[in-house]
Amino acid sequence: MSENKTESASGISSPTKPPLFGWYKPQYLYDICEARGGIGQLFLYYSVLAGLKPALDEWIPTERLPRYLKVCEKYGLLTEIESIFYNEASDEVRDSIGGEFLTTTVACGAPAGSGYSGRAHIYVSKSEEALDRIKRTGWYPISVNRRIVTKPQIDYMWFGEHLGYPKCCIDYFSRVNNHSLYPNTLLLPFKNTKSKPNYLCNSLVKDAYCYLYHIPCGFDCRATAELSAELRAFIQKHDRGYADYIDRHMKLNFIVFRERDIYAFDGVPEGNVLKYNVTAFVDSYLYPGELLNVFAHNDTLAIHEDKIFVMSGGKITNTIHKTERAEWFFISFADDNTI
Amino acid sequence: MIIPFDENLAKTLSVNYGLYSHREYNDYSFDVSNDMTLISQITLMAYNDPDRFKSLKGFLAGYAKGADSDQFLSSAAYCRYADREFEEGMKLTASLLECRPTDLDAWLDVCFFLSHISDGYRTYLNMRFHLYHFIHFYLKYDFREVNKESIGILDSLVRSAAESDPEIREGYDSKAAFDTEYLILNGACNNNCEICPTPFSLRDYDFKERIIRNGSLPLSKYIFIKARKKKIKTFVLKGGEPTFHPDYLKIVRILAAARKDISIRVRSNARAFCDERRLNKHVDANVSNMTIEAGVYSEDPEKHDAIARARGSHAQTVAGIKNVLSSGMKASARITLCDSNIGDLPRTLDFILETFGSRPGFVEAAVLLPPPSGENLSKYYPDAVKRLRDAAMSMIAERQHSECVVTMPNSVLALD
Repeated sequence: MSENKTESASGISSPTKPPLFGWYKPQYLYDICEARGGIGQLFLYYSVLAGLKPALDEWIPTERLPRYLKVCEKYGLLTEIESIFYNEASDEVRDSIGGEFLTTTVACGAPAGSGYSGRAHIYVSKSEEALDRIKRTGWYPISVNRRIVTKPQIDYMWFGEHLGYPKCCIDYFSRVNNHSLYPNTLLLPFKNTKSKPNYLCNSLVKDAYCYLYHIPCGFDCRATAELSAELRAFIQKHDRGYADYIDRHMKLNFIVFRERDIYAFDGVPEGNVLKYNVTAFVDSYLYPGELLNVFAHNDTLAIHEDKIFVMSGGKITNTIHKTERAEWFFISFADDNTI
Repeated sequence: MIIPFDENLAKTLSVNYGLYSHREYNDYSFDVSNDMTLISQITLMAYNDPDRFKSLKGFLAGYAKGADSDQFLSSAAYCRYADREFEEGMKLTASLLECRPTDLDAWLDVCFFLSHISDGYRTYLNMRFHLYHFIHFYLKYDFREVNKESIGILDSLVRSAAESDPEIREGYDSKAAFDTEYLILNGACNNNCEICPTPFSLRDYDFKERIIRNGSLPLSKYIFIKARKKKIKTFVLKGGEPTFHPDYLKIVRILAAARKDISIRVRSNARAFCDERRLNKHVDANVSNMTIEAGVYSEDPEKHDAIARARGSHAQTVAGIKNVLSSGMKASARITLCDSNIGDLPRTLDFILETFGSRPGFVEAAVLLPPPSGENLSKYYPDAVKRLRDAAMSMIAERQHSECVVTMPNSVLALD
């Protein structure tokens, strides 16, 4: 239940069509984007400044730190550096007991102020109290004597609370989120979605394109939608274009194979058929998006219970099956007129 | 001083509260309870099932017998953690450390508690980077008080450690692409090896199910799900002695059926394969891509038996490996080093390679260091294990066995 550390790729789209995920130059908080080196997580700063989110955590290259800390100060944001990550190519630690529970990136760590260059893990908040709470629960697994030590599970839940995630979503996460057991953890909130999916609960487009950074308990979670709506209203006051930009990305259609293995499509589905012009692989940080070419060179999806028929000009060109190893789902936020 | 193991309490926690009462950060914690050490199990219970947690607290409060045991002190401490009574919890953990000051896992618990104590955060931050040194702190630190002054003393010890070792390794974000799944089937074994990593508390168990975050799954279903994960290329079945699990053959068949392209490795002492009936059942299961990895400690039967603490085990293991190879299955020999057999390594390798090396199906002789769990932690870590490793490396370097592979894996742990 940690917020992400990277700028996500903006999606790879077909070279022959305009990109689905574009770049936006913010009208407000642009200096924060410059200092941190990208637009990613920008909406989280809005959320903290609006008082909707008690704190956020960031990963800032050490060479950018002085400038970043100064900009935070300008906006009245307090910061606390937890540690410095360096030598991120290192993977010696993966042989450790419990290594299978580690995450993709493995790095050496050093205390803040130890002089190492790399990326600083930083907590950011408007209040001393919130900063103090989050810094005590937000640490990553470490390797001690070649054994992986994770924080007590409840610390993940407390961390979620300190980051301002809705209680229902934390509860749901605490019960079902288990990467070692479920290949597609996003399938669980999908199955828990009882009514029409609400685009304000769309956590599939992360980083710059989103109002939320937690996995909701369902894509119709009321608490999440309320939180997103409040944030949206706050962003609109400062930079209407940015809110429109986020809305555009959140109101898309998605095929989700697992976290970070997600394809986005434009268009509005009719029944189980989606005719689209443009597709994109949402986040190329972990996976290559191997089906992007298939989708990009076709124009229609027909979704059946356990198959996706990919079609061009009315003819089926590819079929994607649902198996226990590839338990994908299709979800559409395209015709959501909630706001 | 040995801290008592309260078997009754362990059973009660398991039967009445669904808790596996082990707190060590070893592969048992990760595998048996699926990433859930006792502190995580108890604190999550507090989060998800407050009534049951309340009942657990009430039970522990009234539990007088064995109130100084590992199970009691750790369970009571973790209840305090869940209730955010961190100072009180740390005192209970400190009681463990008074009895067992070299217990790295108890030091980790101290670290968890410190992170939440207002005066302890800075110490925790530095301590986290230098846990390796914790076992030396006990010489100077008074555990009985948790206050600003005592934490200050601890902090100065941590800082001096920091000067000598400024690094740790840390992993974060998203999921790793591991291709090997380790699965512990049971704790029971007909050997009682002195370097066995299995915690005593688990040695009687046959695991019928696996605890997952929202309940439990029958072992067979759990295995099937794991095996179907695309990234898994190898399944390692471990124990205790995995062939003793009542459903062992069923599990092997499930694995083979779930995926045709995975290899299965069984960490066994191979004694069971002396028995023709059991061997034949195994052969009849007709599982391809399976290797029996048998532990051979020495060429000297008496020495092997002494390390395995089972008379006659050497003869049975050697016969078992021969039977496995004769029946067309694959086998390898694993020499886990310890103080008692390091000097014999060249002779043991000669023996293994002469006895099995020319037989079809023999894969390799692997030389391993004692895994860092159980009693090995205090006996071999952090220093003695390096000595064992250096000695073994030089002995292996002097040998040229072109007819068979001898491996000395870099990792101590992946191959325990």
